[in-house]
Amino acid sequence: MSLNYRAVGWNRQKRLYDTALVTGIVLYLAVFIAIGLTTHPEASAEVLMIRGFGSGAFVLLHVILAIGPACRLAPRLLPLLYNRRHMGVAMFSMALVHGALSMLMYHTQGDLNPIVSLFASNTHYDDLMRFPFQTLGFFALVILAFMAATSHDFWLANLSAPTWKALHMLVYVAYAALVMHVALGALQAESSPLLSGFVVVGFAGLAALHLFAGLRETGRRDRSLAAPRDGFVDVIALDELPIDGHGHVACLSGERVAIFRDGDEVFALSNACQHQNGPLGEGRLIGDCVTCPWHGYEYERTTGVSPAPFTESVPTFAVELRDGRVWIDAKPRPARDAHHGGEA
Amino acid sequence: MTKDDFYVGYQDRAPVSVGGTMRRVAVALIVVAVALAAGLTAEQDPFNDAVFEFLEVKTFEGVLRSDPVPMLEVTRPSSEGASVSSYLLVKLGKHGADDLVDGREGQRARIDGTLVYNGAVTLIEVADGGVEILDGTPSSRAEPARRLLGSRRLVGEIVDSKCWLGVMKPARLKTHRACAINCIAGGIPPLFVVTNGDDADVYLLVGSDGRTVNAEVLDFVGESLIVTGDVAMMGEWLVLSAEPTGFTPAAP
Repeated sequence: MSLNYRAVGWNRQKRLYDTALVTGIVLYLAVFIAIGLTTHPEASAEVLMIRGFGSGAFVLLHVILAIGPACRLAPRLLPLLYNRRHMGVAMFSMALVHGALSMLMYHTQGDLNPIVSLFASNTHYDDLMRFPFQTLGFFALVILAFMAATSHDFWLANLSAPTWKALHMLVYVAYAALVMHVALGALQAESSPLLSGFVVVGFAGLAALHLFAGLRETGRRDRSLAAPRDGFVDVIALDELPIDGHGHVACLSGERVAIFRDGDEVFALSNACQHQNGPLGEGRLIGDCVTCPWHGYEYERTTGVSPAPFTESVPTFAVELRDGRVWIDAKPRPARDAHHGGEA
Repeated sequence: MTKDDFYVGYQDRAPVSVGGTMRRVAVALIVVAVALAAGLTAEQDPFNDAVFEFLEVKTFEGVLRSDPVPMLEVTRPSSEGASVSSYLLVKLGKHGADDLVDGREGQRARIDGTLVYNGAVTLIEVADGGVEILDGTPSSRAEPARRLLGSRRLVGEIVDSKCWLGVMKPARLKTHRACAINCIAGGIPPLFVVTNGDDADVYLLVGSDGRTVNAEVLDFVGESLIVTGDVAMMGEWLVLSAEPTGFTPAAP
């Protein structure tokens, strides 16, 4: 969590993360170009760079898209999620080099403005196999540029979490455009089975990962609870709630609720972190605060308000213990205006 | 995860077990990425051995020709006596050299430019202001203009001469299509390339009446085509005279 907006609030873990990321990217490019020049000495360096940066960005995009569902299935991978935006910006930078070099090589120094040339040199928009694939890459690059530019928490706070999250789901549109960009471009010109295999396996793997994580999520969500009595819902036996700081998630009137136990006290908050809608119920009760597993945002367990000087807050739910069972008010208490006592 | 395993990214250190998992995951991801890079780059289709002497400007003397496309006819000494080579002329970027030879047919000139060559055929990328007329008196061709080889039905692809001869690799198929269209639209002579394994026959492509067909072939660039036309030998160049209206797509 950070109160003031800085480009990056560096700490040891961020440095390790970015060191691994940069090492991976540098090694990928170095190996691609060095082995390319060795096995294909006739190749030109600029084409190897176009291909190296392009393929590297595409590979990295697969990693980025896999992180979300992978973390749902294996929470030990959550550190990958914490600085995923660094990965996104790095991937965009590689894609930008690929796009800029391609524009320079293929669309400059002619009679047409390079942007006009991109759209007007190949005009077979009505034919899938002859479709101007470079326009799809450009379209994806514009989306990735928008996402990279708004990746900072400054934009998250100013656009609001749901809007920011919805906008950043455009990464899937970019991915679809890039799959078609590769399928209608490189795959039509190159005979490499590894390249075509990567595109097919990558797409199938990501689809399966998302589907599997989604099905598991739906399974959790579908656990039915008894109808409310006096507005309260019987959620779980007190003894079934973890006592080691882990949470429990229940679905009340369509809203997911994160429930934590400390001794004989039980606390219920909205499951959606205000930062990026992270699942608070999969976080931890540490001291008096519930900590989000995604980016560590904290909410005081009774009020749902982030400790000062932070200003985030989430709705909370009234809890009653009846005969050893936990009953929760189906109607949430609105999120409080942080540190001013009123409702937001 | 146990409580001790809970990861909070803004803390300075991750729990030991989480750190260990992340180290293994990072190493595995990097190893897979590097293996992919090695495989993808090694599996690229072969590049031809065309040469672009980038940034290397040389001076050539010869006779300017405009038929069928801008060329410089150069006499070269050899062990079997002098021979004549015809070098295609293009300008910097994606521009043809028609204006450099207009009204200068048969004139002797000195040209500064960069060599681009692929196999037996050569092109000069003329430097800005790189044409100096040495003798304005038109001279006749050093050898018969064309020797007809007959009518042929060929399966190949239209490319632009500048990229194909070495400026760009690869200079064919879908990934190069937009570039080739820009080059041909800019006046760079189109070629019809018939590939056969590692070898390729290269034809200068003109209309059946010998006219330039740049604007007429743009829709066909970078695609497998069947073209029927008359083939003639002109110096070291094969010239294919065919009507674009008769071009038909070849089966993939």
